[in-house]
Amino acid sequence: MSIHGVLRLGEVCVRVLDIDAARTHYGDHLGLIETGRGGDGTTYYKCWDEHDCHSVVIRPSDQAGIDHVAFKVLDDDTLTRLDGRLRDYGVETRQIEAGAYPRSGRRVEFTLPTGHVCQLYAFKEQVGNGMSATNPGTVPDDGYIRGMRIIRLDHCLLGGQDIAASRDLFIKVFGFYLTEELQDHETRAPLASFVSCSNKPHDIAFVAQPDDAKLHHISFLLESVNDLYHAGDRMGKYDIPIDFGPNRHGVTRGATIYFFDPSGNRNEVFTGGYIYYPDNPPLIWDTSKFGNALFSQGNVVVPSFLNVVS
Amino acid sequence: MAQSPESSEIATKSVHDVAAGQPRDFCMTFVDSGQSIRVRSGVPLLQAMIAAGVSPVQVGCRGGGCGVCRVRVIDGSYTALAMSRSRISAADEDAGVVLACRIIPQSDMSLQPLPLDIWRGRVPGRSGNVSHKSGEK
Repeated sequence: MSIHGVLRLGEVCVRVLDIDAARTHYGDHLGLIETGRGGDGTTYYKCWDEHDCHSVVIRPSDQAGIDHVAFKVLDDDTLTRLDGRLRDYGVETRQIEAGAYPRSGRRVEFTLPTGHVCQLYAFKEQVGNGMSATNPGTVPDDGYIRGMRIIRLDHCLLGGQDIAASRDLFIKVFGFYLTEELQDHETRAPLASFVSCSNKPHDIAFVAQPDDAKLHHISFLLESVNDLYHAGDRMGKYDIPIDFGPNRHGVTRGATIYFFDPSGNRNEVFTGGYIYYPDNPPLIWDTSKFGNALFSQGNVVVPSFLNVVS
Repeated sequence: MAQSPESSEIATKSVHDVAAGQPRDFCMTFVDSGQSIRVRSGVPLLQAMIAAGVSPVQVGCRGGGCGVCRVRVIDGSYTALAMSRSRISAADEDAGVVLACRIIPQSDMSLQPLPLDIWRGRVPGRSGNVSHKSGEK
């Protein structure tokens, strides 16, 4: 497989209730690299091994949650093609001109069946990862990797009612693959669906929730279980509320800690998992093994993991 | 004397002022169960409930975003940090419906747990629930 359409989740914009507390969280405690600020306090971050100028945006608001998620696509022709495919599928798209979002090319915006605003873009200014593109070496200078040593933004889990429709849109329009699904063991209704456009076990996932447009979590990749424990130590040091972990998910096999930003938006740091190929069979879990699917060391169902969203 | 979320900076400052001065304990009483706990001045209500092992509401995000630790203030004064308007409206807040994670007691208080059940008694994935229609739009 080669990745020639949608490349990755390239941007999330999270609403925060207290921008100063959020900057301390994302900038100091997570160690994301601040790359810009807007007039309203909106603040832009990248993770250390990302080349694009930002992937995490925090915006002051009176409501927690997520403004939009945005996927980077290969090039402008791909953007045009995928816009057409969306409209052929019956999805209304909105054209956002280049520069409307800082340091970004034009975007195509649409709303998912689960109520989330989703964007596609082909260009964002690149600032590098702290190493030259020529004879780069293997690590940037001291101080570039900080905090929880987060490598990159990896995926997000969005909550809403008709998760099957959002799942199908990514599969049928963008060519994502269903990697795993958690189903009710009696009705076979999907409770959580995981789809990938890459070799990762998921690039985006959807979880059944009674209200649309909800954020379950944004997730950041770490290098090792050692770094996962290091991140957990920092959560203790800075009194960051932990939802659950460290543990390992059954679904995706990632070793994980879930925690909250100061506005109650859930974050995840994780490491590990498997390499996905499109000829892998979708892995189906059901609620007869609910705990095993969720947190496989102890096989526990964590209530807050199911009903706490922003 | 609940303060509006816009005054969270003021609320935070007053918390620090109290914390810097002589600490006091306040008595929190839950009217339904009659349980009571002590809260040290400057400490968010939910944090004190967790420490006391008494939590008639669920512990969620602890940042005012998820809404599951909702309580109604029957009596007593407090300062409030910002709470997500998608969970606590201005009218709620005026009526003393707040999130335990975001209020700092300033006196003894009487409280009624008002847990937020986002599923409204339903079970996810079962009939009568959210729709699961799929396929072409």
